Amino acid sequence: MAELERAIRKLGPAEQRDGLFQPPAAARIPDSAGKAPNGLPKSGSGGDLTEENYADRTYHENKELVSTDGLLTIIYKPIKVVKMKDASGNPVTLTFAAPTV
Amino acid sequence: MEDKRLPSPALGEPRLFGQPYHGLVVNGELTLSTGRKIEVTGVSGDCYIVRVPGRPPVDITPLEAVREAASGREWRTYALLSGRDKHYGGMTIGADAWLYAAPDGTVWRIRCPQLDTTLVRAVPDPNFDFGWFPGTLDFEFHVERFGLIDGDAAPDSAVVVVAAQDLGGPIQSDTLRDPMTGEKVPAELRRFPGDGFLTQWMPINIEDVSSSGDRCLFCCNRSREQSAANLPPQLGRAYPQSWLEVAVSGGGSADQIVIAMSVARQQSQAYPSVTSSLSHGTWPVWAQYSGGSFYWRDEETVISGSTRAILVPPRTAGGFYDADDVIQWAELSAEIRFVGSATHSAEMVGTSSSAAGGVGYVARHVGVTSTSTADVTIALAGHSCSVPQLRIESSSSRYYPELIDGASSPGYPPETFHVSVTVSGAFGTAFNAADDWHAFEGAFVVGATGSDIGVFDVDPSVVNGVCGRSVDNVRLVRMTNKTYAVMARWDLSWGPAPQYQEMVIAVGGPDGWVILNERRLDYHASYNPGTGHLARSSTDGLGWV
Repeated sequence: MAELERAIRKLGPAEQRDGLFQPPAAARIPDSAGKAPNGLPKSGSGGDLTEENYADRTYHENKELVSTDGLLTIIYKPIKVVKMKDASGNPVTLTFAAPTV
Repeated sequence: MEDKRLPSPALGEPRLFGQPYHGLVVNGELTLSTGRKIEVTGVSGDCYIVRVPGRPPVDITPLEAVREAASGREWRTYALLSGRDKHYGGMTIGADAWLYAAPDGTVWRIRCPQLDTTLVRAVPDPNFDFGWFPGTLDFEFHVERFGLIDGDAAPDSAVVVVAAQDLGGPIQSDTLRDPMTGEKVPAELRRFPGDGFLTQWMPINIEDVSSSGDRCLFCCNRSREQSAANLPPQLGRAYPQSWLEVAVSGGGSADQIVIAMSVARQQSQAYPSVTSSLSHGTWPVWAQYSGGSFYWRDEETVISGSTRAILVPPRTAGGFYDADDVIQWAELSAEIRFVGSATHSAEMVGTSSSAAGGVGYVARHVGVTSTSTADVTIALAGHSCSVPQLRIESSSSRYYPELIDGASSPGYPPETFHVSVTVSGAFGTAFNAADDWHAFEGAFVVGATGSDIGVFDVDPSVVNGVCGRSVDNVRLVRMTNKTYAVMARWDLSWGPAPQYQEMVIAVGGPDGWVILNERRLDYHASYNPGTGHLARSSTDGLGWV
């Protein structure tokens, strides 16, 4: 079928084709691209967090965890704040919300 | 305290917590739904439920439930304390303690040092015939918060004293010596533990506990063996004397818990009531001497009939709390009846010329028939256990010649004696029909030995516990806090060295009886108040967790 179409096209006048589409000009790359702010981040960390002093932890008020049969009750303090330092020695504070259940 | 602080679930949320392994423990082993076996020690016999007020339904999704079941776990809103020592999740509450769940949801262990001891002793009377147990006792209750896992707080505790609590007496000890032998009362005849002499004690133990522990039933003269299995009476099958109920209220803190006691029931100390009647007749003896003109006549007044009824008042084997926390009692009563009649006849054989001489004798015929029946009624929380009526039918005839006064060498025939006995409804071989006298239930037939018939009372012995009849010792015994058994026992030997045979007629619980009729000395049963299952076995120790 494809050969038949090519044969018929040869018998007819040559096709008049449009040229390639001309793409619009690209926007200019802004000067700020690829640049980082100078100085250290005010929050967040690059990782390698280390807790240096366990006693610095703080806790929310006591919560109860009761066994399904009601005989056992665990009293625990939900963790509230843990202080850490990152690899560069910068302080990082993790603050947890109080449990709602 | 930092080192005791528990790791808190910082980022995760605990979903379920507690003791999730449940089921029937057989010989100390629990088989989970997965087929995995867990060794559980001390779990046999008693089973106490603890329901803590206000517990919400278990918050678990259907998918979680399936996953948990696939791991052999089941989460429940109530707890079971297993065995006489009340084991829970590897902890032991104690035979002298129970758990009280207060209305505010706090749980308290209440221990009473007066329980499970040998301290309550009988004091001999001045004649040293028997002793008396104290009429009152001071009870201490050590209350301590249970199950609170808190690294920072000391357990909240308090001591409550109930002074001079009435024990439901007066309660008399066994005699201080066997009245027949003068020796110590032998073990098989004792109602109280001890040596059968000056050392007798009355153990007080927990009979049962309500589902929240706000009431606890104590039993006076409840030996520790009675929570293990059926054991022979000589191993401590005490005859219970009274029941005390402990009522607990309050909560929040130990010093807010209030304890009161009262006498819930006293064992019937009444002797069986006996009604009897005798009917009399005349027994004419006529003789005529050869001359035909002298008549010799004798006439005696004899007993021709006898009836006797013995009503054994209800005796209590124990009590327990049902599913609604109402005390239910296990009771036995008995009705024993005896009916006997006699026939008499006599005729003169030979001649007699006068009262002073001649040859002859009077041929006397005595016939006695009697029927004894014993009906035992057993009730357990409204469920009766049918025990066949014991029926003993006896007939005897005796022919014996007797010389007329002054007669000589009559050459009269020998005395003859025949007896037949038919017994129905007895367990085992508790009689011997070849004996020429018969000590049957409620009646001792003596008519075969002469012209009388009579009876004497055979009160079902209480040394074997709550007994309904003495022939085969049908009795009601406590097995665990919520199971009871109807037992029979008889002696194969009829000699000085008894060879007892035991039969478990039925085992019952709050929901009714199971008739067994198995010849066993030992039997095991345990009732699960949470599921209503009654487990029983003739071979394996059983318990629930």
